[in-house]
Amino acid sequence: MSQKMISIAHEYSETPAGRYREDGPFSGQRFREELLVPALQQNEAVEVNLDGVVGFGSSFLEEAFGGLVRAGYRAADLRSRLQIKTSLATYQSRIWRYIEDAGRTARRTASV
Amino acid sequence: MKRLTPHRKLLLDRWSRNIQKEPGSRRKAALKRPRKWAEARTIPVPNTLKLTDELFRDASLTFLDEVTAALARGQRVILDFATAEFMHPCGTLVLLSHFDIWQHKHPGKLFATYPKDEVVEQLMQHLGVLKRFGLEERTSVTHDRVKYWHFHSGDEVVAGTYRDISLSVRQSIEHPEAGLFADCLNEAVANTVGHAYSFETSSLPPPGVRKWWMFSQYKDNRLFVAIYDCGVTIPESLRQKPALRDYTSLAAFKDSKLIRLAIKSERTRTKLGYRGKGLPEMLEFSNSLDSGGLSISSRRGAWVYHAVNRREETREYARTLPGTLVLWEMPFREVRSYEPKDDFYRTRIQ
Repeated sequence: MSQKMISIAHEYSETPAGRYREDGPFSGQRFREELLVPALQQNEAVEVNLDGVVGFGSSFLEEAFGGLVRAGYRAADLRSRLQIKTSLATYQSRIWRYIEDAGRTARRTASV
Repeated sequence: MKRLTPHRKLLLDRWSRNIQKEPGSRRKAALKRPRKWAEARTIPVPNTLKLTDELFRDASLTFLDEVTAALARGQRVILDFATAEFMHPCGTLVLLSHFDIWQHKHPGKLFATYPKDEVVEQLMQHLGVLKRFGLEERTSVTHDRVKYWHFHSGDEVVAGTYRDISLSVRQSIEHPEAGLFADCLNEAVANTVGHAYSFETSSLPPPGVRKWWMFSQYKDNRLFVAIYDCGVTIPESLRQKPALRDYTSLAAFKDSKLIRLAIKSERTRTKLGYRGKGLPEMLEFSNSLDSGGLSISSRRGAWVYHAVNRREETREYARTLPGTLVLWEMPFREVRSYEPKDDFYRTRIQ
């Protein structure tokens, strides 16, 4: 089983921020589209290391990880394929909350 | 060539004779004077530039309005800094934002004089204002009230710009989740970029200057951050939201109450995404501080949180602030409860 490790600080930016590409150079959307989704497409499992980054901002995290659900990934699949490595436990819980919330929103939209 | 009517010819002859006969006539003087200076208007900068105190807010906003109106009339404006003595961070930040807007809309029309006050001159030099107006930088920036200030601005979320603030806070603050400070700051700036200019109003600046402006200062074991945008304001943003159509009573709500609604838990109840999560996260972070606090002014309203006693208050001002001003203050490890030393520092959370 192939596994890919992504260090946001080393492979993307020490100072990521913002939701959409037009918000800034290191946005959550760009991270998801250029690093996270290709890694998930090419590997069974992906580990994202958040350490070494100065800070994120909830819109970055929501768009990068919650956006995976909007891009077609199921929250349940992500649970088994995506690992979040961080020394700040808050990020871990936040990211999974964003993914679950996006999943709920997607289900609600689909049922309407 | 078009023939002049007798009546028109008579009028022109009379006008020509009057010009020659009346040596003191205003029209003749105007013809002799270089046009550039004939149109220039000198507007004194208020003695105290401050927006979070009703006492000075009126004069500060009147000054901004006068400059805006004169430039809109096509006049050249000379900002007379000789009268300026107390440049408070909130007023100075808003003034700097207006420099950007005025110079973008009316290039070559704005000038300035040197301040008489030494500290004000240092501040103007430190912030690049003198250079901006083509004035020689003739002093050294040494004063404690000036040299610790840092100014940033932008129209994107580029967190690297204010990286130093984020790092120094993470290392020095007394907070159970100090690392989240940078998240809050990023989100506050992201809010401005994503939401502050989200719909058109007549009062918005032109697209080229729809920016955020930030002041920060680390001094006397405390950090002060001010963030300003010239956007649609929190109350107006709330009133425009389609999700609020049922909340018709909100139209009559005071601005301060709407700001409170934007920050507090009611926001989730009303399912409003108008300002993102920046302000609620700043409040959540401030809840774990021993002192300092958070103040948000937008349009006529203000909402203030004092961390030392967990007290909140709302304020309603007589004059409208064009935009949203966030003032955030927090203590560093060495000093737990902070008492302001002089009036300059008292500007932070009021």
